[in-house]
This record gives sequence, structure tokens and C-alpha cells, in this order.
Amino acid sequence: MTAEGMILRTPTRRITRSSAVTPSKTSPLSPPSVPCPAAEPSSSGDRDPLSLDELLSLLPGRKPQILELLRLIGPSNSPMLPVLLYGGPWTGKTATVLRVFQHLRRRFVYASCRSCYCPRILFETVLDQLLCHKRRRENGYWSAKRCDKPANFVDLLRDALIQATSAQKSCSSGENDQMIYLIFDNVELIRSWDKGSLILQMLFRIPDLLKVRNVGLIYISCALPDAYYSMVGSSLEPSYIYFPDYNYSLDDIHNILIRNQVNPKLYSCFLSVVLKPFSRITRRIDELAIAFKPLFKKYCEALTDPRLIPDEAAKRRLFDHLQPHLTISMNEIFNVPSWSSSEIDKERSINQRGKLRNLSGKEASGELDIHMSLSAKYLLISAFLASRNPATLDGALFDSTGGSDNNRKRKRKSFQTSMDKQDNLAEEILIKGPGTFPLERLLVIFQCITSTVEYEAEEVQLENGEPTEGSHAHLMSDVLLQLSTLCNANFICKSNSCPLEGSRRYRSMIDEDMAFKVARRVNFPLSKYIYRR
Amino acid sequence: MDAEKALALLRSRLCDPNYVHATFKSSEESNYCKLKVLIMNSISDACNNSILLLGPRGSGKVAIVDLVLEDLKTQLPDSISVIRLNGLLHSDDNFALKEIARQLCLDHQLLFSKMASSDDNAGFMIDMLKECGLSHKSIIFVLDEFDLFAQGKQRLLYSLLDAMQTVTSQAVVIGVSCRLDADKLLEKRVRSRFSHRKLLFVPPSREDVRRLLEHILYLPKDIGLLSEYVAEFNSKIQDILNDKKFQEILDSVLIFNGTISNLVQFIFRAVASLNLESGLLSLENFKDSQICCQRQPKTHILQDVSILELYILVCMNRLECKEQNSYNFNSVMKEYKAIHEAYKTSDNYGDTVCLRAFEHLLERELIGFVDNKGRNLSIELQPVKLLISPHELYLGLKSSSSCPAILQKLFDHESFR
Repeated sequence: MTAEGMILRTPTRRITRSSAVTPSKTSPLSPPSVPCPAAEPSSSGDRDPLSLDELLSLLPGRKPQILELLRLIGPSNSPMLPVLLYGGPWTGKTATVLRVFQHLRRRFVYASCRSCYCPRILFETVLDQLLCHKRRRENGYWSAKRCDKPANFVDLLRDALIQATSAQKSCSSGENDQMIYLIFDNVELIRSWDKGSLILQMLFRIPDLLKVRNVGLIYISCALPDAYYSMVGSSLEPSYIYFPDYNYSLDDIHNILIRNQVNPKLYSCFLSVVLKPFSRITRRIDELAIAFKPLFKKYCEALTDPRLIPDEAAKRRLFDHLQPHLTISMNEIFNVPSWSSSEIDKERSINQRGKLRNLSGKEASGELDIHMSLSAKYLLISAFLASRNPATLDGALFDSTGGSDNNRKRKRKSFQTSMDKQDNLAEEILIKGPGTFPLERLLVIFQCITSTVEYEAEEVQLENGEPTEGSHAHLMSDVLLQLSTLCNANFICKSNSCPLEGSRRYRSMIDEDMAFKVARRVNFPLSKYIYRR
Repeated sequence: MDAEKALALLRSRLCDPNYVHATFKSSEESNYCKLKVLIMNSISDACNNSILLLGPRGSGKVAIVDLVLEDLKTQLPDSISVIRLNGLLHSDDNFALKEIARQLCLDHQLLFSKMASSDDNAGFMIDMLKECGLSHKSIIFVLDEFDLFAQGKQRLLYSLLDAMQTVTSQAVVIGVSCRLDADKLLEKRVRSRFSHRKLLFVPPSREDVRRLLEHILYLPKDIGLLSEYVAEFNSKIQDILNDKKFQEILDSVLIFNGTISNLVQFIFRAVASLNLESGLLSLENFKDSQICCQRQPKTHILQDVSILELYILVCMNRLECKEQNSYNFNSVMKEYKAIHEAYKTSDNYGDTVCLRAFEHLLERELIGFVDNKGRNLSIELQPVKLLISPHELYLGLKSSSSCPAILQKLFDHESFR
């Protein structure tokens, strides 16, 4: 672990997080590839020592919390009451604790309840670290002790602590620091485990159960301390010290994002434009970092020399260049760029420019990002219609011979006759969501739609004077296979089967925007078919 | 140097419950004395006994038991053998029997077999009770979290108490629980074998608190510190203890949780912030500690929530005021768009962004799903509810630095109609 300005994180924990791990240079939170800072009770000497100033500069905005934590942990070889750190996600709790221990150079054991997802793994991880046991191929990746139940854990933990303390006494000279610190991360996840509340109570009572003086406990949690109050008297209240880690202020976010930038002044100008509006939406650093990355690229496009520090005129120019992209970007989240070839990119940029002028602030992402086969698209549209429209309308809307004029007329009639029902239906759709439909209805609608399409396509092609070879005939093939694909992708979901008929019922899970995107792709006039108020 | 030693000493005192509760050793009427007298009598009279220690969490019940047992071990080393069980760990009967057997073996230097069945263990326990009775040795069972043993079939309690009645044994059963009605949880047959002795642990009175503080905070003269420093420190402590403001601070800390552990936590925090240069405690330390102990997490979290999330919370509050019984994300969005149309705010964002903010609020546990039944539905359709009260929301809006005025206006309008 080199003394770069990177916040320490352990890969075992971050890999299981869904929002993590973009090895980008601009994001200051990219994980270093370093093993977990386990407490080899021999020494933590493979870590470079940190002075207090370095510690404070590595974690901007956290000075009061760091000082308080240092006070609570106290001088070396002095016991402490257990401490609970709480705060929202991405507020630097784990980073603060680990860096503080790197600064203090004391022995600690770290276990995260995210990577240790069941009690046995949690217990065995803690014991392995205390007994300096590494799982290797030679010992068949077994842990040092097998430990399933909390009672076993308490006994084995006591033995391991005594062993670790005596090992320390015998090998090191002079220092005589007997305290061992146990750090449990993400303890709020234990609540959702099997028998979680019992394990949580046991975990919080470890100092009382162990009756060992030289252990210090630190718990890190995303949930507020209120979440740990149980029915039988709070397990926390007696001897716990809460220690909040609030979110950062805007200045702190500014400082954090600026680190690791090639040109900090340029990024600072960029942030002064961008940070305030985006922070009205979200204040989480991970999301801001991900949103800012493509924007910063666009911002720098207008610059001739990326190392330049812009003056006022240049700043204004850059801002004007960035402006149209800002509003679009604020309405997007997690824009995952898809890899496309350069021609498609060029074509897309031409389209985009036109779209930008037209849409001006509304949602501009009219393009469907997912590749689907043609029949899957039609199936999706049919499912959406089947979920949205009541079954009684099907006869009116779908005519196997096509003819959209007839459809339109009929639709108007049914609308004028029942206005109240429409309002109620809209309300119901909001609350209950899309309705279910049996498979047969889906297939009927699908067939109606595709036969209409075939009819129109045949018309078009006959005009061209070329005979069709039934190129759309394979729309009907493998429909059930497509359906199961869509179910697996969660666009359509299976709901309970109807008790009377016994057939499976399905429900469409896509929202209106997506349905419109799909319909636009295949030039299907979806709005004519939707039952609207 | 001296300041550091003093700090280390105070910290180690505060983290040691035995030291803290030893304050009350000397007083006649304390629970410590009563318990000690009871156990001594039952040892000397060679009879069986059982007692329950009841009191809120953090009152020092287990600490008192430890103190008594320690004293007894020094006074009568060969006459007692202690078995400790905890309801959190050993509530399963088979497990508890195994643990009893293991601890008995440990005490008497016998070999313990892990393969023994629970019947074997039960038989072993009864035999040991008989043997110890014959050799005038008392076995003391300490059952922590007694109410958890009283769940289920209470087989362990029954077999234990039954053995005490029938076999020539000398045993004392000490049950410790934070539920004041722990004895009502017992089955009829168990309760009939249980003597109804109870020791109640009440929050300490003012004099007791004062004695406790003096016991903890005064530095002794004979541990190698400079005597001037010790005198100065002690006089400063005395000034603080006599100060009326300190009394107010202490009252406000003890008023919502009067247990000794809460007091210890408060003092620990103050001691941890001891100024190492002057080496003296001051009233400021205690004031800061009080502020820290009385934090309101939810109000503070609201200060750091983004503006879009505040909008969502206010919309949900409005829906609740309109007495809509169940609402989900879609209804909240409808309300949000209605507000935007009515007031033309600049914070109109798309559905996906709002859903992301909604999910953040779920993570922070400021809002929550009404029940777990709607798992099949997507997040937008599951009914939700607010997990903070309107008053907390109001305080949060007021204290939020960047809250737009429109939100406050909307909020005020609703609740102060």
C-alpha cells in the first residue's frame, strides 16, 4: 500500500457491492489492490505509518470525527467503552476507522458483515485473524476453528484473545500494548439474517460476555442507533458511545472530488458550475462522481490545452459548451456507456444535436438502449397493452383485418360513455400497478398486432413491385421461447395462477416510457391502442 | 506525563464495572449486602436457595453478582463452584446441559466428552450435585437473561430446580433478568419449586450518584503522581461536583435513563476529552459530553438529505395528512408533479431520478414499506409509510441549510391548517 492519496478500502468488501469498482482516475474512491488489513498480532508494520496531519488531509471534512474517535480510543493500552459509528452510505466510516488504526498502529481485527454473510463465516473470520491463520491451499482453505453457534464463538473468542495477548507479550519487547480491537462493519445487515436479532444482541454484549479486559469494540453501521433497540431493553443503551458520521458539506464534497485530478484548478471551475445543481438531487459522492465523469470529458472538449487554467472568458465559453448537456444529465442516472463502433457514434452525435435543439430540457433519451429481436419487441408491446387495457376492450381495439380508422372511431365512443370509470381506473393503475393477463390473451393480441404489421409491410413491398418471401413469417416462430426470455429479463413476470382456470397469469413490468421507446423503434402507433383517460 | 497517567487510571476505572459498583459495597442496605448475606447463609446452613435479580438494563446486576462471588471465593475458596449460563447463548436445553457439564468438568478437573448426550449430561449434573452436597460444597448457578430460559418448555429450569429439591444438594440459583415480570413467565411446576425472593435494582438516588462520582473521579494519592497535581485535580473535581450547573447537567442526563451504565457512559465521554495540557477536568468536558449523549440522529440525518429527497418526504407527509390510507411511489410522484405544476419550482426531475432518491430514503430508513407482503411488486407499487414524525420533519426542514422556502411553506400549510 503506497502512500498515495487514496482512501483505503478492502476489495473483499467492495467486490460484493453493486455500485462499486470503476477503476477510473477521476473517481477518488477506486479500490487499491491491497489485502485486508488484518491484525497480525505480530505487527502492522507492512503499512506505512501515518502522522496525524496526513491522516487529516487524507480524509477531508472529517476532522471533528477523527479527533473524537482518537479521544475515545484513547492512549495505548487503555481500555475503552464500545463505540458505534453510524452514518449514511459513502460517508467514509470504514475509511476513517481503518486509517485511524493505521495511524495508531494498534492491533485490530476487521470483519465486515457484508462479505461475511452468515454467522459461521463471520465467527470464523474473526477467529482466523486472531489466530493468524490464513486460509491456503495447503490447509485446504479450512479455517482454524469450526464455529457455528454464538456460544461456541464466545468461548473460542475468549481463548483466542488470551492466546493472542500472550503471544504479543512473549514476542514484542517494551511496548506492552495489550489491547486488541475488534471492528465489525455493516452490522445493520445482521438484522436480516436468520436469528439475526439474537446474534446482534450477542455481538453487542461481547464485552460483558467475554469478561476480558483488553478488548475494544468498534461497530460501524449504516442504520441509525434507533434500529437496534429491541423489545427486551435496548442491547445498546448501557455502555455504548454513538459516534455519528454525517454527510459531507458541499465544500467537503468539492475537496474530495478534486483529489486525484490531473488539473485541480480546471476541475474546480467545473465543479463550481456543476456541483450545486447536482447536489440538489443527491449528495452521495459515488453518484456524483459517476455523473460528473462524462460531463467533465465534455467540458474539456472545448479546451485546446487540458493543462491550461482557464480565465474568465474561457470559463464562460466552457460553461456555454456544457450547458445543454447539464439538464439532460440531471435527468439520467448511471449512464452506462455502451461500446459502439465509431460510425454509429458519429451518426448518433448528428442525431443527438438535432434532438438537443428540439427537446431543450425534457427527457432526451428517446433511444432504446437494449437490443431485442423484432418478435420480442412486439411481444413486449402486446404484454404492455394486455396489462394496461381491460380485457373487454380487446375486441374493440384489435381487428385481425387491421384498419386503423375503424379502431379510432370505436375508441372514441367507448371513452365518452364512461368518464368516471376512467378516473378510477387511472387511480387503480397507480396504486395496484399493471394488471395480469393469461397467456392466451397475450398470444391473441400478439397475433393481431403482427398480422396488422405484416399486412402493412406487404402493402409497402407490393408497391415496390417486389414479391415478399414471407420475411416476417418468422415473427410467429418461437414465441414461447421469447416469452420465457422476457420473463427472465423481468420485463414480464409471472403472477399467481387463477384459481378458477388454473392457467398461468402474467404481468407486464415495463413502464410507459419504455413501451413507447420500443413502439417507436418498430413504428407501432402505441398511443392509439392505450386505454387512456 | 501525570495527566496521561491520570487519564489512563480514570479510563480503566470506568471500563471496569466491578470497580464502579464497588462503591456500594460498604452500605448496609445495598443489594450487594443482601445478596452476600443470602449466599453466605445458604452455604453455612447447607441448604438450597434461589433468587431473582431484576432491574433495568445497566443497573449493575451482573456486576454485583460478580463482586459477591469474588468476595466469596477469597473468603471460602473451596466451598463454592460457579456455573454461569447466559440466556442468549444457552437457551436451548441440550446446549445448556452440555455447557453445565463442561463447566463442572472444568471446575473439578475432569475430562469432558463432547459426545455425551443430553441425558448423560443431565445425569452427570445430578450426580455432581449429590457429590458436592455430600462434601459440603455449594454450586452456584448464575443464569443471565433468565427470561430467555423461561421461553419454550423450560426443561432446564425444571430439571435444575427439581434436582435441587430432591437430591441432597447444596445449590443456589441466581437468576438475572431485565424483565420485571420474569417470575411470571415461569410455568406452574417450575414456579412452585422456585422461592420467590427478588432483589430489585432501582436507579440510584442523588446521594448515591454523588458517592459514585467521588469514588470514580477522585485520584488516589499513592500511585506515583505528584501530590500537588493530585490535590489540584481533586479540588477541581470537588468544585465541579458542587456546581449547580453540573447538577443540572447531571439531572438532564439521568432523567431519561437513570441507570448507572448511562452515567458511566456520560462520565467516560467527559474523561476521554480531558485536556492533556492542563490535566484537569472542567465543566466544559461535561457539557460537551451531555450534548453528545443527547443527540437526535434523525434530525441530523435530515440536515444532510438532498433537496429532492426533502421534496419526496414533504409529498409523503401531505399524502398522510390527506389521510390516504396507503400510497406508493406512483402516488407520491403524482403529488410531486402536482406541486410542480402549481408552484412552478425549478426542481422538477424525471421519474428515474426520483426513484433513485426514493431508494436512498429507503436505505436511510426515513421511509419504509408498510409490510413485507408486497414483495412481488416492483418498488414503485409497494405501499410505503413515513418513519419519521411530522415534528421531526419540521425540525429537519427548519435546520436544513439549503431547504427551499417553498417546502417549508407547503409543510406549514399542511400541519398548521
